[in-house]
Amino acid sequence: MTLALSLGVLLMTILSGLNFGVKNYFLQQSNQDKILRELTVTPLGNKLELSLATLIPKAQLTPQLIEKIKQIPEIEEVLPTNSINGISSLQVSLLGQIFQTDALLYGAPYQSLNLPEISQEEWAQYQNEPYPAVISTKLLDLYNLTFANANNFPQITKENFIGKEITILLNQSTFFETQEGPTIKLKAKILGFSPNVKLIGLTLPDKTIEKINQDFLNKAQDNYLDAIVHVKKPEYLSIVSEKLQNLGFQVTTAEQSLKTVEGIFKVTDLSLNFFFLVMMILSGLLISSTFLNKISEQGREIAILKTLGMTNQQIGNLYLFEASLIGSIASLIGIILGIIFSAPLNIFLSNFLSNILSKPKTFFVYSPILIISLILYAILTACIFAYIPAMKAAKLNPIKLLAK
Amino acid sequence: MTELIELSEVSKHYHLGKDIIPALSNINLKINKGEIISIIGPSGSGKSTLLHLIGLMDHASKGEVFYKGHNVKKFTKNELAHIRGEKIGFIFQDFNLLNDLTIKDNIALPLLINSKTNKISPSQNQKIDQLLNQLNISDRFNHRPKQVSGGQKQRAAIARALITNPEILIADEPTGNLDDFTSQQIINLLYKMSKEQQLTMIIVTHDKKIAEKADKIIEIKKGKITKTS
Ligand SMILES: Nc1ncnc2c1ncn2[C@@H]1O[C@H](COP(=O)(O)OP(=O)(O)OP(=O)(O)O)[C@@H](O)[C@H]1O
Ligand SMILES: [Mg+2]
Repeated sequence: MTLALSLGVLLMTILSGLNFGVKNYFLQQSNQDKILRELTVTPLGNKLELSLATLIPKAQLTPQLIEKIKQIPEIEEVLPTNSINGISSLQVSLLGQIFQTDALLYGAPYQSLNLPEISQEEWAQYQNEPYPAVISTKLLDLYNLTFANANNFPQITKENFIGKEITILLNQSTFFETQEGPTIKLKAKILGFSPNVKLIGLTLPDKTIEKINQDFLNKAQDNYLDAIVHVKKPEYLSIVSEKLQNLGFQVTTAEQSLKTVEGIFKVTDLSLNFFFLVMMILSGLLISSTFLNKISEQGREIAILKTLGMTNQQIGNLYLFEASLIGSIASLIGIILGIIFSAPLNIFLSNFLSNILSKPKTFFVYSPILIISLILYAILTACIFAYIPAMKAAKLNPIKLLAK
Repeated sequence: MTELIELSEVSKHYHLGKDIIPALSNINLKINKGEIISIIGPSGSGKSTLLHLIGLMDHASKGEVFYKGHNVKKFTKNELAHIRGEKIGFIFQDFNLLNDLTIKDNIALPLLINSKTNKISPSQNQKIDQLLNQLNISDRFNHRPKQVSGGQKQRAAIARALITNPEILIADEPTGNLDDFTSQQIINLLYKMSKEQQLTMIIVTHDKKIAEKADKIIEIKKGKITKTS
């Protein structure tokens, strides 16, 4: 019985540790102060990633408008993203092969990368080839998890990419026949992976994109794709959001995306709780039947204690005390084993997901609150399911028991 | 003389499935403080049933039982348990010691049950040692019931009954499982200790000689008192 409860607590320890660990990781990632003060401004009708040069935005995010937005007193900084005004594809040699694919080129200011591995000086080298470049962390994960797996392509690691030179072929496409101008070859160098940049494409310094547009595509920087806006205080989010909407933009706050993530966690929490309830009932029923057995075996002892003046309450408490003892011992065993087992599980998970960049260092996080609630949970389970047997024991008639 | 227990027109029957088994009918009995009463009668005549009623372990089916003038029906279960624990000592034919506890712990048990702190005080501990000595089992205090003789077990049971300084000692065939020599010792001990401590004692026995030592002999047959002397 103690074993069954221990096993239950062990499973619960591992599962809730994992749930808590992953949740913690995501909330940590998004809970940075800056993110709570962040919103993204997009021209209405611009479908971001899918724009692929075909969709023409209804409202333009022009440099003049960016300046205007910067004037809003509640705003701390505006970080616009630009893109090249034309078609481009990328050539990269990876694992002994040369790959070529169409790709979008984005430009982002240093502050929006959120990538401490890259210094501001490196990003400031926007004038000289190879241009500094970053790739979305999520893109690599997406490739490894879905595309590579589905097509039996080799998995790509961070190390495969960092320091790699990429050739940018302007005005060339692997999809479209049309060519708007002569092919121009440019070099870029991957410096790292950022969780914040656009998913599909290569992100260079915004000034590099501006320069490419000007030098090779003969277009001045007349509009931006979107902009990340940081307000001075989280309270300003709604005011600023309203002001920007009045200017004709679509505004999404990081808070909204955070809410989506939290919604997902609510579902996992709920299903975990349901699982715990089932575990509780199963181990509880086992406790109940064991206690009922115990009590029918201990009838003589109960009768003796009653003749010696023990009250019904005291008899019941004896069994409840035993139940809580079982609960605490079982939970301690389960928790300790759970924590011990999660170490190899953590290594296994890390190896299994070795190519995925957006993963926590430790998958299992055990907070004191979690451990205390697991102990309480086990004690409560034991006591609740021992309660009816204990009350039964308390009400036994000593005379009938002694007559046996 | 102070009256401790009074039974007035008490009947008791047991339900066994659909059957009703009569055990006692229309019993009238007064027990005074310091009295030693023996109950005799054939097997199945209701002696144990009567002891259970006197010991407040069971309720009468009909009639009234009074403890120190109070109708027992008016007491709550807890109050009855406390009276049993503090004022009444029980001794059984098959000793009814707890096998998992040592002799000393068995004797300490009623004190623990009555105590609010779950602890034995030094003076109580001294009293246990004194009783162990008086009953001549001090060398066996650390043994379990299974490791000692029947006579020693019953001595331990007597010590357990006396440890709370009860007013009434109730003994149901205390020598039923003992040989003649040991029986004699135990009975002498019981009479001696009740006299010394002015205890009220009610003892059920089959043995005429034992019964005759009491102040009063009650004979019951088929649930009725047939003779008092
Ligand atoms: N718990 C019980 N349920 C049903 N009937 C019972 C119960 N206890 C006693 N009886 C019945 O009540 C009657 C009186 O029993 P009791 O035990 O009082 O007799 P006794 O005089 O003590 O007998 P003995 O000398 O054998 O111990 C008997 O017929 C017995 O079968
Ligand atoms: Mg009997």
